[in-house]
Amino acid sequence: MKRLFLIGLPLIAMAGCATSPRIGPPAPIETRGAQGPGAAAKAGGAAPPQQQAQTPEVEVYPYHAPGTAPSAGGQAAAPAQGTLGQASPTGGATPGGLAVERPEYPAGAQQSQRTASTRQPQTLAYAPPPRRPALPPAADALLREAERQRQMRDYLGAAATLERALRIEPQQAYLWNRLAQVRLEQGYQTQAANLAARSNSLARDEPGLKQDNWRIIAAARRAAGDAAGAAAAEQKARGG
Amino acid sequence: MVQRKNSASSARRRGKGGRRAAGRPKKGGTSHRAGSILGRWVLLLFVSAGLAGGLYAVYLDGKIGAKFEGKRWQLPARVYARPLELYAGRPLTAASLQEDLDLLRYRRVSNPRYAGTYRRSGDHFLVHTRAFRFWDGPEPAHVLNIEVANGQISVLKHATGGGAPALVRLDPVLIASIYPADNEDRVLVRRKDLPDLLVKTLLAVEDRGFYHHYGIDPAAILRALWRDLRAGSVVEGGSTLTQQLVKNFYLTRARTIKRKLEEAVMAILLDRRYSKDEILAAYANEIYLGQDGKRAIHGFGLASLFYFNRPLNELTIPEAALLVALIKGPSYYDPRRHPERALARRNLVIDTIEQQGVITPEQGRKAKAAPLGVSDKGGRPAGSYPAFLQLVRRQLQRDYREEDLRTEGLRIFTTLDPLVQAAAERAVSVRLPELERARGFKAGTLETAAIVASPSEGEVLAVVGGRDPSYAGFNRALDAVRSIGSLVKPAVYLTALSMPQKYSLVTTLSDTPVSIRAGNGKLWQPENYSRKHHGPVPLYLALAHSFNLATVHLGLSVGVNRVAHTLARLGVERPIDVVPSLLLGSISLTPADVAQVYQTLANGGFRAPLRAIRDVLDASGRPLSRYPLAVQPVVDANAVYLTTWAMQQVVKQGTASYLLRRLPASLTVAGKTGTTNDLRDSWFAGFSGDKVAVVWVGRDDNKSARLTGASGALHVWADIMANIENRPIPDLVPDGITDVRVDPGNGLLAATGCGRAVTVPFESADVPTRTSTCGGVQPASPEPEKRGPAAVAQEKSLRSVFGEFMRGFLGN
Repeated sequence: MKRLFLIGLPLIAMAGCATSPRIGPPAPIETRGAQGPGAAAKAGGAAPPQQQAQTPEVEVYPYHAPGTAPSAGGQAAAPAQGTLGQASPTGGATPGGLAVERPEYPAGAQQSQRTASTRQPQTLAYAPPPRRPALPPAADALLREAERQRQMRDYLGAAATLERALRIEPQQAYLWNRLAQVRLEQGYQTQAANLAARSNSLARDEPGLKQDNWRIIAAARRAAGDAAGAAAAEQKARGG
Repeated sequence: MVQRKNSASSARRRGKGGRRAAGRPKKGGTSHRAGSILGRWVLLLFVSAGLAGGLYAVYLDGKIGAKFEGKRWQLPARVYARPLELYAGRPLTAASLQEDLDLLRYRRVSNPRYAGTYRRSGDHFLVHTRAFRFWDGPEPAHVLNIEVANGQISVLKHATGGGAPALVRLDPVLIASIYPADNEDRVLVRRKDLPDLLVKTLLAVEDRGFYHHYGIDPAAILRALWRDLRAGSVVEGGSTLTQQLVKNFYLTRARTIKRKLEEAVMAILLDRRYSKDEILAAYANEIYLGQDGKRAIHGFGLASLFYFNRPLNELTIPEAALLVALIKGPSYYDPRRHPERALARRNLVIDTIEQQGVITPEQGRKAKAAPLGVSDKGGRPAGSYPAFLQLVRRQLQRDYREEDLRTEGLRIFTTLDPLVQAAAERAVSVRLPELERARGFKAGTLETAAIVASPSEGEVLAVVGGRDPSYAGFNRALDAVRSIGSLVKPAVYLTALSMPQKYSLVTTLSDTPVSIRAGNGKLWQPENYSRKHHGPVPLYLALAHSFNLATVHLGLSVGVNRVAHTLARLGVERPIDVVPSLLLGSISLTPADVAQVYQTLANGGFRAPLRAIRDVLDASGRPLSRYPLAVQPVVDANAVYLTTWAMQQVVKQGTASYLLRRLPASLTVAGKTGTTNDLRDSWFAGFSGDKVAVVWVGRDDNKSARLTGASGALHVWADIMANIENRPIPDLVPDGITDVRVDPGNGLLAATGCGRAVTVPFESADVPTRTSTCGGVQPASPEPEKRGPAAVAQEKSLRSVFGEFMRGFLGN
């Protein structure tokens, strides 16, 4: 009996070496498409990131998104310094609260205070887009992609694609109009109105486009509570 | 963890009980007792040893678990420039495309079979691009046929017959890495990112039985011993990869027996806990493979960039063999400092893998004949852009903590255009010595700053902080606050033109002396740069020639307050002193501030805050944040159109007419020269259809630079603009503007046959209605030679005791 006990002891002690259940996956080794190897072809134009199921393969970096970072001090205290390179309150922070946009992940979506306070997403009456002009193929391809993303409510993706198109064709009023529409659907009314105004300033003989811009401006003014301004804009949108 | 503790403590408890049980004397015969006591003590010894060993193993196991699973490699942040977008019709020269490919370290070959290679013959390029993951998704690798003709891409096709892509992005140039505090640098790779060849070579040389052993490999140790004895030197090591990983990961490099034993135990434990692939991947990321000054190179991913400037999947046989050869001693076999040793060891490795059948003898022969192929610039960012990066840092610091920047492996996509930056740096390095020689300065006296941005999005394309662009010191473009002189004038004229009922481009201004009593009682009596008075001049010519007096009259008429408001709306965020001398530029701004103001002007009155970053992704390629395009209409678009029309006259017939000779005729640009008192600052701020650029030249000690805007900064500006892609200012007249032929002398409609008529834009609602007699009225041309009694009186007062004070406001 005692012999058994004595033999059993070391065995039990060795049992202490038994591995406990793994807490989590081992070291993080996630490089999707960096300069690193094997970055080739995630083929087929993957669905925009925030539409994938948010189960990253490696949940090792609990990245604390900014907004919780203590940058507030820099903003509040900054004197009126140059736009660039100084932590000034308005530097980079654009009217309409669009300073930085972040993808909305289901888990732990972090919205910065600036964006949250001025966003008022609203359901809009369906407005068909104005007639599309003939565009060079590059801008046209991006435009189609952006339209597809917008209809799938991937607003961040649509905005990114339209900005890319605007880099190629910055004087194209139609692209500005589409970007204004995306911003309106996201709820950034001020920015939508600004972009629509930019579209108007570039539009030439395109009454349909201009009316659509006025529609967007009217919606933005109405959301901001400017009923008179909204009425005036709606008048122009009707062609008056 | 809990389970283990319990079992350990309960084992201890039972152990004590056990000993007590063992120690209790057994009732029975003495002979039995003696033998059994001895036996029991031996057993006790074994048990305690086992316990101690077990507990120690438990402790080591815990150490492994905590470190391996929670292991967060601190990854440096990577900063990228903008990617080159290719599409048919895109303005691009063959030289620019070549420059971008060079910055990306693409290899020129005869047959581009692998990503990162290209073939060029004249203006035809066959490029095999690298795949890359951008914020909005992955860009796959392509093989593209590109033809450049007439300064643009004429043909863009898939070489493999897949038609013509509408738009393709090259991978972006890496411009910087922000390292963690320990200066370890690595590029993380996954198990499946490791090329087969590399893995096989690694296993063949370092650990043949990797997939079979259980952490340590006694057979390997014996084999290594045998080989080393035969070879007479250490050819193979007996350590498994697991043991090496343990050594690198957890233990210091003490070479004692104790360490070796510890290493062995931990290797076994590691092998039990994790799969072979996981261990291999960890090894591939941890192994130390070189040193670059303070930066330690860890892992194969970075080592292949560091030694060959190519990602891991582009390595050839000899290159992979060299990397594996380095494991034994990265400094001893450093291919840059000890190429012969490196070559010898590499060839040894090639022999080994040939023997083991990883490669054929033919491949082995070719590989051994190949040179080391180690590149000069190892995996470092292409070039250094300290001035631009300072801007990036400042904008990032608003949203990210310094610690996160250094350790989280963020991928930061910026707006930098490396080709524009290179053009700006070249312009500065060529022009500044010329200007110094022309003005009789010692070399190194003049300093400069430049900033180039895109008007429609406000993206900063290039920043030059000083004449030595690679010096990371005082960034003049962002921080040198200098008096702007005549650069302020467009704001004055814009304010006036915003009141179209009162002012138009042909409103007559009087370029005549003016004196104002300043707040402190002193008289302010500004003068033109030429000291001459021109009498009545049309408004647009006053701006084109930068007449001070006419501007002061105009500014006083509209109100200095209003001008200050215009400046603020255009984007000036510094406090503005509302005094009459503001009209001639007694306000100090940085070149970046000026760039913001001129961006608004160039963008039709829509201000887009200048930004240097587009997107930020985290280490796994997941989008974190974007800095979106945003605009705000801040001044009336038609008034801006009229102002920029007048600024075009600055070039066509004014102070910047040098540009007509220097730039191509088709490139319509607009701008303004700026000179300050005593010629201390030389400025030019101007724009084309898709670029806005500001250049400053001066001296850090604020002494006279002996340069006007036109003779100094303008030349640098012209060099930059002539060497980058530019679209002309479009010829489109906006709605609400009408071009009218008028008599510039009186601003009235010109009848046909009026010789001095010019076509000038007007607000449609305020077009002149009366017709000029065109000669029956006072002549309108400025009278440069007239110096009446008033002028003489002015000269006398210039020499008066207030001369210095007044000279403070001279200049353009």
